[in-house]
Amino acid sequence: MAQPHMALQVRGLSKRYAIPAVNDLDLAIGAGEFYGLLGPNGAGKTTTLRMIVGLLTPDAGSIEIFGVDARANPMAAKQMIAWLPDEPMLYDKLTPLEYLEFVAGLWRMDAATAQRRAHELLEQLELWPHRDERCEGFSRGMKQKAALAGALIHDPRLLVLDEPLSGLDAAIAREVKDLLLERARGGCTIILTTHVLDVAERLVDRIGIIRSGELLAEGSLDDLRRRSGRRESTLEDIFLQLVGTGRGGGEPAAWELAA
Amino acid sequence: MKTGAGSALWLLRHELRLQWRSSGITATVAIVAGFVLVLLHLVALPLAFAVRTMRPLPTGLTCELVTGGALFAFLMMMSTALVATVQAIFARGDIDLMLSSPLRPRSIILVRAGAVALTVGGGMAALALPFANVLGLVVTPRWLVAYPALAALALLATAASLVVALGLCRLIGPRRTRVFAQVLAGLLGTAGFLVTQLPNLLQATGSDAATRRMGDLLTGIVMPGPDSLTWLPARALMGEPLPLAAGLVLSAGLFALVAHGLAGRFIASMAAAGGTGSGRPRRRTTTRRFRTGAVSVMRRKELRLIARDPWLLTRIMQQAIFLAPLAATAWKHGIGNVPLSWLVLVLIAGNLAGAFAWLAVSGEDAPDLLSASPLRAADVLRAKLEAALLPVGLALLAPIAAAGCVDPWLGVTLAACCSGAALSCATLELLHPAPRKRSEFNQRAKGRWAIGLAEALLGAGWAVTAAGMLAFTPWALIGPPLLLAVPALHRLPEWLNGEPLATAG
Repeated sequence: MAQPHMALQVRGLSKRYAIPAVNDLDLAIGAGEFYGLLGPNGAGKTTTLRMIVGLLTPDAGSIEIFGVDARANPMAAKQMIAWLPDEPMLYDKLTPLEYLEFVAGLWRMDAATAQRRAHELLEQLELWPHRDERCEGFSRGMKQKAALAGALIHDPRLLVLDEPLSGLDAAIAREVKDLLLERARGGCTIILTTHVLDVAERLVDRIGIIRSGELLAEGSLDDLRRRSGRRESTLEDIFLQLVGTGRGGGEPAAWELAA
Repeated sequence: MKTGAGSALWLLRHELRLQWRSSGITATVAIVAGFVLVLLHLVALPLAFAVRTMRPLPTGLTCELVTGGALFAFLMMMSTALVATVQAIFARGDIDLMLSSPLRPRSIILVRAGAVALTVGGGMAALALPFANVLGLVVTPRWLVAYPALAALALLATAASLVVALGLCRLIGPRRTRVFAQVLAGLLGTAGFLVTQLPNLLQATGSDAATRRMGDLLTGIVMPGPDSLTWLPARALMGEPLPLAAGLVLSAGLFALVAHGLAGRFIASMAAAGGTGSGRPRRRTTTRRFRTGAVSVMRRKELRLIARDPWLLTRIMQQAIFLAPLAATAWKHGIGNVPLSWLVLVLIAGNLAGAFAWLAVSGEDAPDLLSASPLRAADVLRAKLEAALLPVGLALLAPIAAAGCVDPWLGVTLAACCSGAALSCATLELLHPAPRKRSEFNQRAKGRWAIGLAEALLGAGWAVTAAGMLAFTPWALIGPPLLLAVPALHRLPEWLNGEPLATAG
């Protein structure tokens, strides 16, 4: 049974394609936590997130979202989640406002609340002046912001983001980061993957580093520094030390999760 | 001639490769096509021997037949060329790359036009040349004039399509050109088929006096005397040296003139098309209240996406247009007083429903969004089915109502069988999705020929059921349950169990 204050509890999660993509993964993320899942390309980050949000069926393991068994009761779990992949899930022929109306409808929000929240989000993300333009003419950043608004409109308790800042310019990336921090401060649990380690370093409370579908290390940046034995290390140093692809290559560090 | 990178030949090879790959023809299909070519030669043999033993036709009739054949070929080629031209000039995403490269812009236009001519000429040649080869061997070598004749027609059709595409672009802009060119191409194709039906239409064998009078009138207008200049192309195609040479020079000259002379204008249009932001401000909707209800917003979303993509709509409607010749052919046959042409509506219903259902299910732009939402797969599918069927109902309402005015039982029959065909074909698509981009609508049959065949058979099955109903035969009762059950048979258990959409795919 999951503890009530846990937003996400993953146990023994496995998924295999030709090779194991995720292998007996355990994760526990507290409510209101901002968690960064890092790893090299092909580490199994996206597969993990897609299993959490119910897009992929795991081969083994359990997933609980705020105490709800996501595999046994996917609809109740999905009601609490929002998923934002790196490629925005948008309809080119819809306007942002119509898109938000659609997403709100999917999550069965009442119309008045949805409309108010759509207005707020579009204002906040500076998309309000473009509310009646079709998304097909939007830049990559505007599309990502519209998709983020869609993810936030139903006020999810767990926000799952796969490379949310990928391809965004500095200004838009800043807007998105501010919005995410605001959500986290408001009690929303956030899990994100990113290749921009600086972002993870500044945004998240706790970091999990995976490679080949296995969790290598987990903890706050200070924890990871302490375990690595180098108190001045950046996240990049730790990451490269762990995944074994830093200058000098070699095997991954031995301190890993056991610490 | 240079053949290295950057040369015209190199560019032509690149263009042809792109066209080949976008055609979706696989190695297997190419091998089958090779066999079909051989088969066509064999099929042409008995025809050739029959022609050899035939008494020569009167010159006037020969001219009429040859002109008809050439007109058919030209219209079909122009239909294909128009779509290919618009695709190559206004829709291909590589124009910035091409124009920013050190290639001469005029060469780009010339090569693209040449590739279009080769493609359209090649398609028609594959159908016509096997017959010309065999007739040339068995009857007279004059039949081999089909080779230069087809080349001339291809160049002419391409030149004409270039002019039309440019004219449309200047008149209505690059965005709308894609749509209008599509409609025009459909109409040209239909006109080509109707040309083949012209002899039937002109015979006026119907019992109706009005039809007879129309036939007489058409005969007077369409058929000039044997010495008329109208038959000059026919004489060229029959191998008369001077008209043939003149035709070849004229076609090649026109092609070169258009492709080279208008290159500057084409480049300007291409650049405009590349820079055209497809997004545009829409009517303000902010005062409209949000609506609620998951299934209702799903349905509305699907209908919006369909309504806002005129290019896609025209591609769908084009399929219906291509059934028009069938309706023309079937007009003279009937059950009682009811012409069989009405049954084409049943085929159209199935065809449209299949297309709209494909868009709603396989062409879903954000499947992950739906899968991640707390909505049951059955609800999603229900909304998509409704969204697919609604436009079909709207499109067919007027003709079915007209049929009901002509004969109430015909109206009832068509309403029932069109609904049935639409439901069967849409269900088939819903339960056998094959995710692709919406813009790849034309390639939706790729790799799923069995579904395409099943869709055609379901439509035909409902048309036969409609014929049975019109003939008041009890056999007509067998069709509906069978035709409704077939598409759902093997996915039904999963659907009823409410499996997620992701796994339903």
